[in-house]
Amino acid sequence: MLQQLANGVFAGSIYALFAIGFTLVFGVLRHLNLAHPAVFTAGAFVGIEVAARTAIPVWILLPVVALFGALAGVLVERIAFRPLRGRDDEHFAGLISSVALGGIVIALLQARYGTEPQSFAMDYFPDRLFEVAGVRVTLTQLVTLGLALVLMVGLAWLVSATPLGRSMRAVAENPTAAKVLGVNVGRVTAGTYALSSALGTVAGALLALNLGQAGRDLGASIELVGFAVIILGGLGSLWGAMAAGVVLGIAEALTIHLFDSTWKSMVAFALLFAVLVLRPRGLFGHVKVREV
Amino acid sequence: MSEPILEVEDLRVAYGRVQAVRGVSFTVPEGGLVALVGANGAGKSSVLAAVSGLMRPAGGRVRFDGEDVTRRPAHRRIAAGLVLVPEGRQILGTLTVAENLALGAHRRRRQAAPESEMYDLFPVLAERRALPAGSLSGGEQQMLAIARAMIARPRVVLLDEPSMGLAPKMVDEVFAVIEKIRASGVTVVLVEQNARRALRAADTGHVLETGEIAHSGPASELLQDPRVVKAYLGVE
Amino acid sequence: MLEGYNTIITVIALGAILAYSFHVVLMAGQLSLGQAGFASLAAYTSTLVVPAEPIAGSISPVVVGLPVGAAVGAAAAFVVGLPVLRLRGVFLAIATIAFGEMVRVVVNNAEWTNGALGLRVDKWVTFDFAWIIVAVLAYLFWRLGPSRSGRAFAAVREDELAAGSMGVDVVRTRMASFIASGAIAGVYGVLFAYFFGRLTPATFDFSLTVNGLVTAVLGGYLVFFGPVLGAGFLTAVPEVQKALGLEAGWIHPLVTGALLLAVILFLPGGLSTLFSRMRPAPRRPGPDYAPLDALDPLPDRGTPIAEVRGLAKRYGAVDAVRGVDLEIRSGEVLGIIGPNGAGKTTLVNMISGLEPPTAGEGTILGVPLGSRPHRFAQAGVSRTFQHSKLFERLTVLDNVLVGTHVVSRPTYLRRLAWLPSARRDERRALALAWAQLERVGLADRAGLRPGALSYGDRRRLEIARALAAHPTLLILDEPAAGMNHVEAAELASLIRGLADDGVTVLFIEHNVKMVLEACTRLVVLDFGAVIAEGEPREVAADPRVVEAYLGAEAADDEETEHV
Repeated sequence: MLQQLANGVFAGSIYALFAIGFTLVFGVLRHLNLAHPAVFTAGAFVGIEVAARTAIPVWILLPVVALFGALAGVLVERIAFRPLRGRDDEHFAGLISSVALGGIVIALLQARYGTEPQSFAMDYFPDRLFEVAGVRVTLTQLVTLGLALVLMVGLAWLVSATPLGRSMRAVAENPTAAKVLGVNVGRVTAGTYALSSALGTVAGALLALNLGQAGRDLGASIELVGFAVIILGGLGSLWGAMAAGVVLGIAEALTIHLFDSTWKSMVAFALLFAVLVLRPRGLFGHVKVREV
Repeated sequence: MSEPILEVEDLRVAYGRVQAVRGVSFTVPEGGLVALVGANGAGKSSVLAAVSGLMRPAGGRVRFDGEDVTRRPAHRRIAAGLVLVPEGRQILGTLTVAENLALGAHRRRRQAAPESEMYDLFPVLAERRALPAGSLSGGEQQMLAIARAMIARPRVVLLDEPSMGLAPKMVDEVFAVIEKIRASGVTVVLVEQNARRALRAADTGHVLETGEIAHSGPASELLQDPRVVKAYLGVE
Repeated sequence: MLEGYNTIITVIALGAILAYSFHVVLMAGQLSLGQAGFASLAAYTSTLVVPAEPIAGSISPVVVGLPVGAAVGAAAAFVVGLPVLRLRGVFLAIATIAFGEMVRVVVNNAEWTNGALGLRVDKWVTFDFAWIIVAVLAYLFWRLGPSRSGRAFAAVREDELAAGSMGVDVVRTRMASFIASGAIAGVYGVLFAYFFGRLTPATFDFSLTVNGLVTAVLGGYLVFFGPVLGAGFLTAVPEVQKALGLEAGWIHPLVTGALLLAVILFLPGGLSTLFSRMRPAPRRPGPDYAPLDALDPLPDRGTPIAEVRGLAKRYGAVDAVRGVDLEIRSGEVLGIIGPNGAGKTTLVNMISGLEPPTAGEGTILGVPLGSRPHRFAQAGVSRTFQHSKLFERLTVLDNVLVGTHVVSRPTYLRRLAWLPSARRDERRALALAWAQLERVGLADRAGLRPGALSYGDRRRLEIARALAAHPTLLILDEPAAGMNHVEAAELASLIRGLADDGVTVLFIEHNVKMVLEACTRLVVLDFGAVIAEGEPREVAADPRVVEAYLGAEAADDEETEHV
């Protein structure tokens, strides 16, 4: 039982890392970036390749992956969202253009890595098993959890206390007003995507490290759970996404424990459906006042 | 008159195929107050959008303090001291009054005026400094929008329809503030539907018609010009 | 010659049918993505319920299966729609995705569906059968476009509040689109099963949803043949690549993705924009199309048409409106003035059903306070908004046509049968709309989008749209904001003209001169309560009004300018 809870927390921390990238872009720019799962997958593949080629330790590997992710994020914004700015159908079109770009990214991964899953070398990150109060945890899981916490707290600090964060909040509230105030909206937009995708790629690499390997459907497999997390947490809410990620991870672990693993994904969607119908602002979100 | 601080030359603005501004030229002397008046859709707000960098003009040139700024993005013009108070105020409703002011100052951190100076100029904001800006009345929001521009100690303020949608009493207060700004030596470009009030406050006026300047001159003369009176000020 | 391509041609048809199930919700502005769930339920039900052998010796199971599937899809959509249709935008999208995934997990785990292995059925669907279904759907959507219901869909898509205020029942319209979507998805599910002869839970997964959405948007959801174009394009691209000898596995998705991206970025409105550029500018309808006299007469001058007592609205700790009593009589022009934040807009929002009051009672044209907006509109209340709420992707003329909603009859079903009476009704609505455009001087812009109009023209368009409803009570919220003195004077004379025709006008305005010129009675609000009421000039001279609202200088202006 306790073991299941711990597993849930570890899985949940990956969900949360994946989802805060999603929710950050939505919160600041009202974009639902459906290329995010593809970028997440790319993070895993790039991590595996760089590890294989350079044998750098994991604490250098992850910043390299994040850097790649930041660049990818800037490109996603340039290609799939910026050209749509100011159009009537900006939001619908953004969904489709990011799906298209996601497809392109996956095709490129296939071109470079083929159709077979890629793996980390067996001895890349020598894992160790700990036993704490009867619960077995691996070093990878601990690293994942720790890193997820550090990144999330860092992001929260960045948004609430830095000039970039203040500009992001201004853009989130009213892009025109932000522009009038002298915020460089183009740079804030690029910065938001860079942060979001950096978090996404690191999450991808961490998941691959936990699984030992990554296939092209890595992102697609987590995409719907990601939706569930950002809604449960309240769309646009960073703390909400973190909490919801962990809640969902635990709920899934408990379902496996109590029923059967085939019902695992039912939990996320049933919970999601119930929350949307009963409390659309999410478990942790605020009410938005609409102006007539 | 001193050297013009702002020169607009043959400015053109288009929305798709619709030409909103077709070749507008005027200059603004340092310390002056220039009013742009005219009917709806005459292109007044589009001129300000292009001058402030919110919109890319289809043609023409904008020179600020002797430099061509036509292709500069909005945030760099603001940093140089050319600041817009937009139509519809565009305050950040969920941030507090003080946070709104802080954002106004962030582009020109070194030159920025202390917040207290703004509260002296706009006493009503001092009482509300910790409240979300969205809870202010329309008139108070307009004051905040102007204060947010003034805190950056701009050299030129572009005011777009500052009296729109305000009760008559608030309109008086807004014009009183414009007088104060002007008295402090800051150059003002004022776009207004309320042509009479605007021309009374201004020293030079330009009347726009379908995207072109139809009449120009000292504001006091425009107020008497029978053509302008008939078309824009209304016959009593 | 088509022999070798039978499968591909049928796949295009199936893709188009799936896309139509997205098309119909996108038309109404609903990002609903539960189609995979509806299709799955319909396909499994029909496979399990309908006998596998031809019925009565000759009727193929698919012919029986289609209505069964459509009914199951529609019923499921209705049941799901009841709770989820309160949601909007991304929330609606994700709730419906969650529904689809829940169906998949259940089907995957259930006994009667044979779990992940799925079911086998005979193949009954031929390519001509599939294309007949496509043709039927295309016909249904073709006739829907320029009908009263089609305009209601478009209005709800562009702006729900404005649509409701024009008398469109927003809840019903959204539900109608949702049910239609479920039915079409059901048809798709059944066709899919009897075409491929195999049914597994994985068929109806999230990627099916993405495909359907992409096809619908790619083709263009503003034009009835969009789904066919989208499906043709997406099916043809890989085939063409194959024909060109591009075989590497990754090239197909790459090229498809790149083309999709290019269409979305460079063809707003989808592929169908390539075919629908040449729409003629609308022309003035001939005089014989104008039986305007069929409209109901307005109530006699002086009849009380609205009475409210103790009307109040509270937002959290703020009292926006505090105990307002108001009576409105037919034919009067009632002005409401007051400082910003005095509660004027909240008051008219309650009177037109946009916001329910916290307290107070009364009726407006017989409709009790607190009813939904379309009820007020149907009773004869029509309004404009402080920040104009126009239907931005409709033409100027179509905006005004939406205004005729409450004074015209539904035409869609009659249009399907080409009944002449439907054509007559549409012409009548057109004549009514055109007359309003001429009334406000916008007839020469009928074919433009509102975005191409100046600020003042947008306000005039909103007034024309409100007038097209032939209102008993017309509510204008700051109609002259952003107009200069001359334009405001023109507007004042328009309002007086309306009053002469018997229309009751209630308007909020800051332009005091215009208020004094136009209205017969003046109400002054301050801090949510009425502080003065009566004959306009007397009220304007009331010291409390001067203190609260006009200010000393304005009072001077009044003297110098008006006396």
